[in-house]
Amino acid sequence: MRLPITQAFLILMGLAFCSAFVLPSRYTNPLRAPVQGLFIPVSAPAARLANWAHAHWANDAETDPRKNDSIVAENVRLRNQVSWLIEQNRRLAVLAGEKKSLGDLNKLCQRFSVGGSDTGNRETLQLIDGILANVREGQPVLYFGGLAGRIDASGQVRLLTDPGFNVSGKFVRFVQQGDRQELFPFTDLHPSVFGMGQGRMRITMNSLAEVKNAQLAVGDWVVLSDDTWPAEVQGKRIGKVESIAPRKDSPLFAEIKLAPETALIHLSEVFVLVGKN
Amino acid sequence: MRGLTYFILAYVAIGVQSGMAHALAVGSALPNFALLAVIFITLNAPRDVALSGAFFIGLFQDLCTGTPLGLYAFSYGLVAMFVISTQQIVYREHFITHFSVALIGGLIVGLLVLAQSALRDRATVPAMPLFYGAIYTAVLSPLVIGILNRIRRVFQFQPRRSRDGRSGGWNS
Repeated sequence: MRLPITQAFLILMGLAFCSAFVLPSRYTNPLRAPVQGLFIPVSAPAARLANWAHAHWANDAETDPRKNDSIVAENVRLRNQVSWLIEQNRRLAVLAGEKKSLGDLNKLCQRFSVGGSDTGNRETLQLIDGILANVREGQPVLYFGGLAGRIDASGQVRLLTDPGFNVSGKFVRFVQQGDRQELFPFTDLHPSVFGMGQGRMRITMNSLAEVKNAQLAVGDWVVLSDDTWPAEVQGKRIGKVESIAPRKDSPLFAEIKLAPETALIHLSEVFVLVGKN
Repeated sequence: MRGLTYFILAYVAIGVQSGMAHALAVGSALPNFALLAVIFITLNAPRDVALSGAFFIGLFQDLCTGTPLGLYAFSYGLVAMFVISTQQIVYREHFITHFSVALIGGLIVGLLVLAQSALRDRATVPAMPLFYGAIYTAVLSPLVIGILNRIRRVFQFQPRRSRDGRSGGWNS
């Protein structure tokens, strides 16, 4: 017996339209979770091949200064550790009397290989064995250079650079002190950082005057300072100030563009914070 | 059309899209291999099979993206309807056909992604990368669809309408 495919097609199109344009994503995203990883047998080797080719031939000198340079990579890890420790110390001071150790963040994290990236124009990553390891919505995702994003309802990693992703942070500056770099918070501004796609984030809610008064400059960093995220990841680096300019639609406000340490969409492994202190 | 061959094509197209698209980006433009698979199917398969085939490739793509479920399924359904409406007037093996259909298909998908973003996320997805992506995909189309045309026999596409007046369907 032949199915009336045209009628079935029209019904499916109607359902797809409702799902895409009408129904809130929280109802449909969980439907995707059980089939995460379905395409990894093809996407993982393809991603490895593509990343190998990208590393050898792409000109990413500006976005990935670590290329072929292990000393720079080590420096990045140390800077990140310093920013995290300073923020943790500050929080411990606030919680005076509670002599609770924050523990070693590495022990709280589970390492995952990335099996593929978003098939559309968004910025998400699929984790190999993410569903089997039972990662949960909302868990923070880290990489060697700081914070990468968060697990979403469908079990994918939504990157900080995904359009619309929102997180709060604060500005810090790394200053050379002898043979090492130290981190200084130098302003009270608490910016809201929004993902803007194409591997970038932006801050648009601060006036130009505020930015000038704070003496914000290209090269400063934004680190996480957001109470909706777990305490363990506060102080993790979000992005480096890449440019500061007046907003085109509102010239009295500044548009500050941020770039993460490396292109998040090309990460080959990430760490999901699965534990708690 | 053979269902198994279709499934392998869809699976490989989505896997390659997930694994390679961001690494093969030129500036902000991403190629869309799934769309090229949709165009290949809809240019060659009978109407009913082409519509359902395109829809399910979109649904597979929806499984691996951050956009709401159904957006690519709906978009590819519309692209399939457009391509099928042109089947009678285009030479389906010519590279200009592949380029122009892929460009228009890419623009249809881009417009829907943009519309969805504007309605639901207050225009957070930038428009120009979608436009550049449509051009990039169109530039790749003669190569990718040309290769697929070389192996078209394994898909066992049936004539659009057989002698008994019924269009072809799925084979196991």
